[in-house]
Amino acid sequence: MSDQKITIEYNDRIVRQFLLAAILWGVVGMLVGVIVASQLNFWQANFNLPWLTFGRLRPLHTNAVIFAFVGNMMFAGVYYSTQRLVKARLASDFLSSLHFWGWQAIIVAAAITLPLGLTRGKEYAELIWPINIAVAVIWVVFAANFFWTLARRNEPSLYVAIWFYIATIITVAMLYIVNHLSLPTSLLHSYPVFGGVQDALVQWWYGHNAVAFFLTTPILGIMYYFVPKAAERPIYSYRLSVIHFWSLVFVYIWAGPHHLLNTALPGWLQALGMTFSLMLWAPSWGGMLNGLLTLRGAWHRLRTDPVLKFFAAGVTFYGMATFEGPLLAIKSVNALGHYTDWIIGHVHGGTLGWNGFMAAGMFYWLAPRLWLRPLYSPALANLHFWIGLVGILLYLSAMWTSGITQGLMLNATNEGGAVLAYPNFLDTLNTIKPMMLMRVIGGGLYLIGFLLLAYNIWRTIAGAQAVNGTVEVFVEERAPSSRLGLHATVASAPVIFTVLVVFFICVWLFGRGMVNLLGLLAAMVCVILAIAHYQARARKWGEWYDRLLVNSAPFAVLTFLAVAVGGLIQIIPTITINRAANVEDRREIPWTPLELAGRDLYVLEGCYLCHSQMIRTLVPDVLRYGDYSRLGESIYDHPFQWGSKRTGPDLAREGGKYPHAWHFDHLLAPRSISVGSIMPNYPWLFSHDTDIGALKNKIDVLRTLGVPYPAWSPAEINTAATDQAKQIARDLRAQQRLVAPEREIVALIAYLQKLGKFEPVTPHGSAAAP
Amino acid sequence: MFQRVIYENWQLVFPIVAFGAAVAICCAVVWRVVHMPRGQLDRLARMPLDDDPPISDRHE
Repeated sequence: MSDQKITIEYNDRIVRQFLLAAILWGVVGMLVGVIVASQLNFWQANFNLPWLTFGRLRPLHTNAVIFAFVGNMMFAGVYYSTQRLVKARLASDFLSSLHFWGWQAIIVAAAITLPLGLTRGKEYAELIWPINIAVAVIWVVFAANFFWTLARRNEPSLYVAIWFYIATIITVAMLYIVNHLSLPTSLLHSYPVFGGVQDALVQWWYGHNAVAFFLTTPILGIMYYFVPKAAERPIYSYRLSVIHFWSLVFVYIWAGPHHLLNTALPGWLQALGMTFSLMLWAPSWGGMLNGLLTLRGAWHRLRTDPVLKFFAAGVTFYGMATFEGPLLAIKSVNALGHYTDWIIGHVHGGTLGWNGFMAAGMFYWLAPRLWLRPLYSPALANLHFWIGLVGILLYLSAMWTSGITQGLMLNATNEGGAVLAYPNFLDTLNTIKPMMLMRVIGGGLYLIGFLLLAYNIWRTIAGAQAVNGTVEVFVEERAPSSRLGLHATVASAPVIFTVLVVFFICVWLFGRGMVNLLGLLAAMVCVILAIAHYQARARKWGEWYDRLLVNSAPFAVLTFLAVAVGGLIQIIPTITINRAANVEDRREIPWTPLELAGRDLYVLEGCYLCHSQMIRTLVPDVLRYGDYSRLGESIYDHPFQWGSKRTGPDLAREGGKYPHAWHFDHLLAPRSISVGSIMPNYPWLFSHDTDIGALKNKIDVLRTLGVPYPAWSPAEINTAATDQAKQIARDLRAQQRLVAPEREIVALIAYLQKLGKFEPVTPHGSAAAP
Repeated sequence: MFQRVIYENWQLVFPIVAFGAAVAICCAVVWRVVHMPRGQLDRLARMPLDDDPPISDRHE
């Protein structure tokens, strides 16, 4: 074996680029956040312009802060720390640049398309299918660059931060691809391949784990690298970090169904989501304590060092958010908090406190090192910290108060639970308006703090010379014994025994008679054999694990298996449930062509962001909105529209509640009908024409996806849509509202009036519900 | 008022099995890390501190 001493210059240019992009997009994303929060207080701030309405800007806010701000910040942190932890320059400058510019192009494309109303209609997954493909390609570029760098590393061991990065790359790829599977109807529009309950489950499997594996695991990796660097002492417990990693990876992926508690989601999935959410308390708090205790002996520096301040507060907010999350996943707590501002408060505790403060700490730590100049003003950074902290606390206290208040009011009943105490939804909305205003102030303060950061970093780097870090390493030829191929990974005692035990447990659970008994016995024998084998070959088991940890490819494969199993077990059984022959006592009637056009307008305008279509199995929900929603009532919905927030009332049974004229007036000027409403006006629906020509492709795609449409010709579709539109226009004229039948408002009214209509069916293998 | 028709009673085993599997894996990981050699742990824990010197050393 020959050793050679070489000097490696890191590619810090890419880190600087991502850092600056993160600051820029952070300002944009937070500014849009303050604007949409203002729109909820002052409806005039929607300016009667389609591309400035809440329903279109809210996805811009969420996508900007998640994928543009945290995404760029994450890439900066991952690239900086990985190069140093593996003592190797990034494998390819070309791939690094392609990653950076490709990601920025995606962000710009999102910033253009979302205000135009080009959306898939799924939260945090709104981007249209051509951009989805671009995201997948650029993510593969990131993965290739990252794993190629690991393959060329000069440090054999993989620090725990790298494990978190691997889990992020693998899991986000899996989640993103599955949740974005769509069939295009045109260059700018598609329908998700999943529908109804299956779409709901896939969406929140993705949505929850976007939080877990985009906003949490990479930032935990960053925490495990940058907190020790800033505190100038090693992580408190490396043991705890290993437990933190494996527990989180195994548990997180299962918790998605907690977003659908008390809904039509099958009970076993709700139980699964709740159980695993509660289990998350342990690893999350283990990680938080590990981060905080790393500051042991350095607490006095928090008084003066803004970097440590941000890190300490950021990790604390991680602990708070991960305490609150499982709490909200308890079914009874969820019955109060779901669909209210409490959830918004919970999310922002994580994003503003954890992501935002960890990002700020990292930026303040990195800038002086990447430009070789001390921070322009630590005092300004300290001011940023206090303004930001006050902003977060105002925001959170406002949202907690607002959410719990509205939840209590909406659920309150009189006369032994038979009558709603606040039957008018607007009563609850008017009560929480002061809190909604306090949110604007809190968010505004946080934005001001972040602008101080932008100014401080700008003054730090203005005129400074950018420098790339270097390191001298002894390049060793890796011993052949440390390599672990795919065969050695899989053909090992731990993996074989695990597979056998799982297999025989399945035989025990699903077999009948003797097979069932044999499965149980075989599983027990395997466990005993595994223990015996371990006792005899403990060293070999240990060696296998140690070699696994220094071989990134097998490690990545096992991480993928860990997260994929959780997803598959949740999603595959719902494929059998979400079929017309296997619903409860009701089945959705497919939308007519005009109703489908109206539904697409509903999705385009982002109505689902404020209105749910899911009446939960809770007494107050049923008293307020009507009979609880059945599994079959959304079976043909691509995408599902169950929603996640009730800024306005649920619309699942809106059809037929009011005459056409009511909807006409309400969409033109909501306050003429509902005094105190904060809904935007939609005047353009009265001047834009419905795109009937697009319906042929849309209906064909939906038929391919299993919606029972006949093989209509374009002429038949056109006739059906026109006839229904003329009928609605005639009805409106009779109520003294004049509108041409081809206007969008007519299609939207057709859709709204259909909501809640169903055909009764006799459930498969069971008596119908009464 | 409510009558939810449950077709998938047998699937209630999934949360139980998944819970058991996750607990078993967590226990295995805990057991493993408790038996990791102290020297290896210290070396791994110090990895972030092995690279470039703190900025203050370069400027002051």
